[in-house]
Amino acid sequence: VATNKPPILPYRGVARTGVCFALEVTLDALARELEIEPCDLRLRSLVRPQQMPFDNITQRHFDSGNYPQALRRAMEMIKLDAVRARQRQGETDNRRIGVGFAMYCEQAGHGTSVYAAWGIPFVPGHEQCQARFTPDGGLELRIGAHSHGQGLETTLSQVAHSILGLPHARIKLVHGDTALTPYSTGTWGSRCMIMSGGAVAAACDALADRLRRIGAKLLQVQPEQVRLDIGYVHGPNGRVAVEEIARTWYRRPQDLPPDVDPGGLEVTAGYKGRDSGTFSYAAHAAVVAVELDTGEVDIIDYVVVEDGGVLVNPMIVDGQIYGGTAQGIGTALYEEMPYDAQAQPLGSTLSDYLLPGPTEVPNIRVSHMETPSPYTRFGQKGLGEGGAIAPPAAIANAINDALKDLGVELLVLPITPRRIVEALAEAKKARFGAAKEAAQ
Amino acid sequence: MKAVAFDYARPATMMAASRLLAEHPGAKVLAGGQTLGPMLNLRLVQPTLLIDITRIADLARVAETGDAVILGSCVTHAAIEDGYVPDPAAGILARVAHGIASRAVRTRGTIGGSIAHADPVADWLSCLIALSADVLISGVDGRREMPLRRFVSGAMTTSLQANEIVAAIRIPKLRRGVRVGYAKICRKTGEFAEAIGVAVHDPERYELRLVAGTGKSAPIVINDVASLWTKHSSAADRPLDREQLRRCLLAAGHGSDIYNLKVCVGALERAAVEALR
Repeated sequence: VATNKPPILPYRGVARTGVCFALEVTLDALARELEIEPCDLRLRSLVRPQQMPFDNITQRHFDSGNYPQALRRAMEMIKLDAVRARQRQGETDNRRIGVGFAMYCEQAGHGTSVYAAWGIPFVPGHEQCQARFTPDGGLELRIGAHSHGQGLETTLSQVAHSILGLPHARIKLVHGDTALTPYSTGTWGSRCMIMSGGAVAAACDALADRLRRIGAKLLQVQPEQVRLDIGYVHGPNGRVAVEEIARTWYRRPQDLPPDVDPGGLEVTAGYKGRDSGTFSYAAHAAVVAVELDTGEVDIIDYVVVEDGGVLVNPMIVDGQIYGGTAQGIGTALYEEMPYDAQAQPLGSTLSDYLLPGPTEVPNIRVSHMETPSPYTRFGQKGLGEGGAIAPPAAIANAINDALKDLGVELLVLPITPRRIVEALAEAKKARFGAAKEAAQ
Repeated sequence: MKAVAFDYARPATMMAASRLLAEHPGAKVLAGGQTLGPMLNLRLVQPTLLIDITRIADLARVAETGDAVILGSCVTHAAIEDGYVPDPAAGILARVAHGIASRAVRTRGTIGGSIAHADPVADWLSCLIALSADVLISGVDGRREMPLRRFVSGAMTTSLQANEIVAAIRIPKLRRGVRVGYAKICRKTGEFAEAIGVAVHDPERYELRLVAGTGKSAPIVINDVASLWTKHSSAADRPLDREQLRRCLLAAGHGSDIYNLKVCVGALERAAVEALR
């Protein structure tokens, strides 16, 4: 087949958005048919915390989590009962409101055997970090993955700080440069906090041991007698700064212990977690108002309850969730690449291909849960893509909830005003047709 | 893509600009360039000469008479938004300006450029037609003026002659007590309009003027307003007969596409609600 239409390519939450949409929209359709609250159907279906770790029928190994709690918290935060009461009362204007939920899980940092089993040439192995002290006592971390907005400069520095106690100002991250950094398959699959984070920790552990040994010699005590804390090696009767130890290795080697590790203050260490990876997850809930004449959709509330395991930096996690959700709102309501009959792309500039801007993204209310992963160094989970996965399903469910009494069910994204208006007109025609038939 | 090679001239007077325009059939007039710029880069226009009129002092001038405000065509949307020009119409101009694209576009884009381009999805035409604005036009043969409503004959079509330039817009001051309603329906903040509704209501004279920006054609002026009143016209959110409004739009040449019609009716209704409140 010759085509100029692009194939699916790397994208945040790639493929998962579609899977989540199919599952969650189906659940809501089922709930409407059964005339039960969609959340009740979800609560009945979710894996319980006591079943964790859980192997599902497709052999996915879920590491940890409390999915029902996430959904219940989302129901509380979005005030489901109040929304239902408001729906019963009706609006004073020409709008209908609706509430929609969607849940997803995001496998991250999954590794070698998983990819090898898929038979694809792209198989990640150990992730590496090269960590070294500079002669002035600064720490340089080199990783092959790339930080392009994920804030790895901050979070990996936090990992190193938690082990070596150095101030953040002395820690520098060099990343994603094939001339300078260890080989890596890169930043993808929400893996960096698990894989690069694990590698940074492994390298810093090794460096910590070497610092202690040199520090003990300078303090004239045995290595077992010292500990590393907040930038110093502490002995029974004194302490020596990490800067001093670095200076000794590079500038005064005559003061080093005779059995010093010849690798010095430079270490490359690797990390590989359990190949099944981690599963972060979230419950998204949206309340929308739909203008029945013009098809305008207003997101009047949006809630995310997310469990990313132990959060290395909650502010960065919030940022990932806000950004991801904004992107998902684009998928839900705006972004579309149509083609004309000659296969000319009609969305080739940003004046035709609409992206949500600041005024289209509501105030997203985020609540965190922190169920540690049993399989990662700090209990952390990968979570960078999740924000983008659930919004199309949550928003579609909310719109369909708003319009359910009018016989409208929208299943094609993006849900544009035109699609809403046309579906409402179709449904009206069908109702009139049915009424006419009944009258005859 | 990049623009085709073109020459550039920056005349200091209207006469010089008109002469250049007359001498170069392939010339285009450049004001703020916020539409022309992208069109050049997409090669939708391929001029041999760009005549930059932004240094012509007359075109930046703002004047106020007893019954009108005259805005030179190079007055920017931002200047109007920020209230640097006199307000003839109860703040509506600042509101329209504020809804145009983004601040960066408003800083350079001009009211004259927008009118000369006559894009049916752009913001100014419907409002200025509803306010009965006139276009002041300058050419090699002198000056002329005409109502904006007649000046715009269709989508991106005006009665501007080859050597003519839009010099200014004259906007009559609203009578005391006259109320204006304005509604722009668009996919996202600053986007081009799906539809625009403008309503000007003079309670003393029992007059209501409705203008619809359809996004497809020249703005539609609805003359037969009397037919739109419903028995329930006191209802605050539904002052007009929608079905009649739809018929009026269709009779005035609006396409039959259901979505376009619905948003157009919706915009007019919102404008009317505001003006009649």
